[in-house]
Amino acid sequence: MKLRLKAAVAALFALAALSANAAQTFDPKSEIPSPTEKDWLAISKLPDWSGIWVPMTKDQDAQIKTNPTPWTPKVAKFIEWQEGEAKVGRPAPLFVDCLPEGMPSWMLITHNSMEVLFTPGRVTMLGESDGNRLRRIYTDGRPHPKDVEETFHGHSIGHWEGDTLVIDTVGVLPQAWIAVAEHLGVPNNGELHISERIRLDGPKILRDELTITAPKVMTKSWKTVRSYIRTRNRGHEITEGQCLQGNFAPKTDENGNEVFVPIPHEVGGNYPAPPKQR
Amino acid sequence: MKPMFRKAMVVSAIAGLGLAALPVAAHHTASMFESVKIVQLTGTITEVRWTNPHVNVMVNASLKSGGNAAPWLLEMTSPGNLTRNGWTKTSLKPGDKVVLEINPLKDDSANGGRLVKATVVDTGQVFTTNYKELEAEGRY
Repeated sequence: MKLRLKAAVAALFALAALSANAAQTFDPKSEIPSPTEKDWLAISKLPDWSGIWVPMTKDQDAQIKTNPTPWTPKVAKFIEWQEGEAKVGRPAPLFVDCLPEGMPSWMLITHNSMEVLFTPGRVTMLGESDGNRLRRIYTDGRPHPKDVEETFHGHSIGHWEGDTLVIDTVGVLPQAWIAVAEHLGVPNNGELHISERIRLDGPKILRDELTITAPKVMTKSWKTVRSYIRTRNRGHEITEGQCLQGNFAPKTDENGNEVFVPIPHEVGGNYPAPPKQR
Repeated sequence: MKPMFRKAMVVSAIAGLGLAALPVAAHHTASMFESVKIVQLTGTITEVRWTNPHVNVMVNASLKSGGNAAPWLLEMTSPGNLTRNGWTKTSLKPGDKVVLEINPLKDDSANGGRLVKATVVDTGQVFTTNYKELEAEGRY
């Protein structure tokens, strides 16, 4: 009984310290505190999310039918048209401009791996393929800013509930796609809210349970799950991937400098294949 | 800008346009390809572009079923996914004689497709591109 009381008092103190810290962190004029040994020790108590996480793309494909998005009738028609276009080999050009897939599309449709870093007050997700594909998830207790600046990945705050990272994301650009495949999706058009619960499911699987609320394009909130497989193979490590690099070819110029020169391309992602001659 | 540099840039731009047969790797879906149809090609690699978001190769090849050799443009997934599938950027090199399996473009008016499997004739090495098989087999 005494032990329980002690634990309860300790928990109360911890909570008070946490909220004091959060208040400090949120004051835009305050300094970002230097992490203490205790902060780093707390990191060591978190679940082990190290390694490289490879998306289960087959499951992404399967979910289009098994857990369809509750699109509004207007959007559903648009998606149906996109499906038809893909069937005849004219897929809709959702990501061909090389802008980031953004949220929630990165989590929903990526074909490339990611890694997750824990540091005091923050979880950082780093992805392959788009330039600057990263999510900063603040776990220092701060709230969302009152006047959030809209970005591709939005403003994310998170906290740990046991071994589950709970994330809340707002402030995603209305132009960011909600896509269920690279050729199926619509811009979220604003007021997007995403909540996520991410946890290990056994030693090799990371599951992200997403609840996506997008009143401009969906009739109700959509719950869906995405899974990632862990690899620790050194040969599988994340490589730098700059999407725009594909629009250039390396060349040595007249001055002997190694430069990139733009190469022609067709809007829509269908590169100019040579005409049929067989 | 000094005139010499301006001239150099124009020359570079023109040289770039000269590479018209080269692909551009916009980040896009694979649904322009016939995902279940396999066409076999035999030929020689002429160009490899190991770049994100999609690796592309040019090959001068003829259909295994017959016909003349002609340029083909073939696409794959990203360098990261290929690396995890056992590739390196020199797995296929210009000059390599190859036997290829591809998913052709649904639009049959162009010599294009998605590379599925490549066998290098001189070494017998085989490279596959379907990273989704890794997931199914639990090879990670």
